[in-house]
Amino acid sequence: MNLLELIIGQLPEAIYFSLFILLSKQIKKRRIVFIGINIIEYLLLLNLFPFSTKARIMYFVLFYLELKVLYKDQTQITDVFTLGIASILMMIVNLALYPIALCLHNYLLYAITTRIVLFLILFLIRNKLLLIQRIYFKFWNRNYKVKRIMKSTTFRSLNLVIFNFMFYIINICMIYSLVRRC
Amino acid sequence: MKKSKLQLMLTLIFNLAETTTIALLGTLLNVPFCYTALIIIVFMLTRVAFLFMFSAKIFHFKTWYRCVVWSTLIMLSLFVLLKVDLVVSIGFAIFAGYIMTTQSNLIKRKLDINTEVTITDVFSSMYLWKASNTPSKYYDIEEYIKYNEFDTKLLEFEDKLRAKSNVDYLIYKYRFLEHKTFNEMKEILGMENPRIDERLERIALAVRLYCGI
Repeated sequence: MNLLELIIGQLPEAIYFSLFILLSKQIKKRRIVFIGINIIEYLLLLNLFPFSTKARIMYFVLFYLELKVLYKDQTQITDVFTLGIASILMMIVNLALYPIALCLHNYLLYAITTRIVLFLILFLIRNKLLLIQRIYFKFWNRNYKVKRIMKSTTFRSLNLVIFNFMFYIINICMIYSLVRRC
Repeated sequence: MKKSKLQLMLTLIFNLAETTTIALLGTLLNVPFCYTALIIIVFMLTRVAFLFMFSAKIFHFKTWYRCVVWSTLIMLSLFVLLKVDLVVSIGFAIFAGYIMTTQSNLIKRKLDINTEVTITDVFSSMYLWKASNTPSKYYDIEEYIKYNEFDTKLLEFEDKLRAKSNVDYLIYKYRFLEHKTFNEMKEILGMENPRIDERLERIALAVRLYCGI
């Protein structure tokens, strides 16, 4: 277990995911408990099963269960997709800043930069994250009374397709990381 | 009835063609056919399971081309996950089946409970397309009212129904004159769907006998 990887790599990621959900759902209660449990499960999963897509999937499952236990009625199945959006944002930031790692051959600098940028983006969009919940509430359930730009069936299908492809891309990234390490 | 059988045949042909296309898509991705078939079956059976176990309503696309596009994309994403792992893909297929039913609705409320789940419901629940113009069981009454709006017998019936029971008249009005759905009637009347369905059956029988439909 690389302590530097743990502190600079995995710990900020766990905090980022927790904050993303807390801000998007505007949760005010039991935040420290939620972040604490999230950090423990994230670190455990990623260190017990390194470079494993299944560990990432298990994280999503445990994340949802944790939300369900702590925030019962406030938790919806769409929170899984909200976490997916957080993951996609992280993947975009990592990909956009990857030239730093390639050009400078300094992965420590790359890791620090990506984390700083992620938290900066989170800080800048903190008030806009509630829009995600609003969009899901608007489009998720069927509503025959209101005409919408996208039907519920289409919206759900779109979410599913993006969600599934996201895990395939995560798998490719895992394999790439493993090959690079070897 | 003939029209209904024709619609069912067309739906069957369409869905079989769609299934074949999706299975071929799996072959193109170099996925073993047995795995492709397994994922398709798991997805379909999950939807049927939710129909039976939780009386959940199944999501369908109203147009055939949307069904083709989205079914293909969903299945493609599941086949791509087969490259990760079979168990992962099966898990995601079950998740996808769950998402495409009303069981995954955001605000949990009592869902429409079908008084009867027919083989047509089972079949249509497996696929993402359901022909929207499949006639309802009150098709004859709807047609009669549509073409005999000012018929004396019909107007007499409406007056007598209104005098007998205001609730029954409202159900008749919302269903046959305003074409509201069960959910909408439930919200307006504050009655559960089985109660509305029960009264509607009685009203339908009464209008058929009175007007000679």
